[in-house]
Amino acid sequence: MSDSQLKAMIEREAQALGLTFNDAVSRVQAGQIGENYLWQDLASLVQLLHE
Amino acid sequence: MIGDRPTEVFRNFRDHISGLLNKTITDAPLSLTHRKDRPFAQFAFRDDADFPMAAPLFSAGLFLAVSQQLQVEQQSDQTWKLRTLAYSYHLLEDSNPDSRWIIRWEYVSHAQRRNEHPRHHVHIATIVDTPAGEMDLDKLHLSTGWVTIEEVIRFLIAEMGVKPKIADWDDQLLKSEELFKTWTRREV
Repeated sequence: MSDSQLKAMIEREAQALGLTFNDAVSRVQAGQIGENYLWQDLASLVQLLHE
Repeated sequence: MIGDRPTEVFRNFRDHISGLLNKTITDAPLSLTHRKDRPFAQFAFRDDADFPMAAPLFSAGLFLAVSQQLQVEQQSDQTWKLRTLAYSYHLLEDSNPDSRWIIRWEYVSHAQRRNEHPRHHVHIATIVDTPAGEMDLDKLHLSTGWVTIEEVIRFLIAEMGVKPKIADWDDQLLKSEELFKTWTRREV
């Protein structure tokens, strides 16, 4: 998977949570994530993007 | 683990865990997300639109969302050591993310995040009255040891009434646990 494909996945999940891509990344990096599995998935994708 | 490149190693591990899940508690396949040639990956159940989902379990009317973040490191003998950076296993009443959850087993490694709470923990959707006041087990991070996917499967079959496809499910789980120890070079 390319970086752009991964970013598109993150953006889609962020939108489902009512967030922009940048807001979602900021929330994940600040450890301010929700408890449902969509948040868990989003957090792991953001982590993957920055590894 | 054996493989020429990280992609092959991650695929082999995903196929192993997905096969184990499909023989025991659900038909849903695990989907691998991996940046090309990088040593990091993630897998989860995803729907046809590539959106994360909780998979329906055989017979018990319950749903499970699974996520693991993984890293591989090539060893001097050209094999690969597997490392789990994070996991979450959420047991739910329905498939969508906002449905009521029952139990959440979670872990994030110290390499990723320094926590104030136990890094291996479980949340249980209940509140218990104690002489010291209410214990909100929904919010508290209750310490656990390393919770393998095999142990979650075992719990669901042996205690929650999920009907496995195979009769020798416990033997299959034991074999898988032994493989995991080999691949990660750790005791669990």
